Amino acid sequence: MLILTRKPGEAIVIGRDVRVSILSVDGERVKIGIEAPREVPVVRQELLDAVRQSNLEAATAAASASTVAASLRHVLSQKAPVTSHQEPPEGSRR
Amino acid sequence: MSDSVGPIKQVTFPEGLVGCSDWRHFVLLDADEAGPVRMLQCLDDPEVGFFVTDPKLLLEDYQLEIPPSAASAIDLVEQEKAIVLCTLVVKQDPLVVTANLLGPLVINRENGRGVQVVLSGSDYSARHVVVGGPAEMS
Repeated sequence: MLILTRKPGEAIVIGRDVRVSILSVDGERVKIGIEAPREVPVVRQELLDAVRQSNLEAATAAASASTVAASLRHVLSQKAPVTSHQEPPEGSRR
Repeated sequence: MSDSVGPIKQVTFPEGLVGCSDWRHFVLLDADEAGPVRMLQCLDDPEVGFFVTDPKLLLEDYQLEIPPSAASAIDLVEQEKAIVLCTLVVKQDPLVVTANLLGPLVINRENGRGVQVVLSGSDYSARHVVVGGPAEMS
């Protein structure tokens, strides 16, 4: 990992288009400004972690819990604004 | 809107899912039926499958702005051509179902390409409780 020391008002440029500025430091909180092209996603690490964790849990749950599908459909169909749909019998699935 | 998936059954996530870049090729099962829950089965790993649903069924005012990076990843020009799905985590005994509203799946219905978006500017939870009390949540 490249480690740099910066002061408020200083910046780092990554590649040609990404600029990371240190705006202020207040105790443990560091305010960072990021200028990047619109096509470069900028996401806080903990959000990525939460989504990844959810993906892993959702994937394994589905693999072991396919029998839950029917009851889930039932629960959600009661929430759905339109409930006129008739659920087809299990065997009719292609 | 939730039922207008159209003929798309195969879905390809060119970049995979967040944190799971090997999971790229999927089949959306029950795509022609109107049931609110569908199965997104991974073709790269037969052990991997997701229950998915329309997040608007869970949260009527659910809104997302598709970031330009995500739109270009799936060649999406008009936002109306997108199918938005969220994955569900299902736990049994007792039954607890949570929905990932923070990281929805956006699929271009015209080419079957998909991307998982992380809504960093939103307050949506990755564990929105659908079934089961908040007591089960940490």
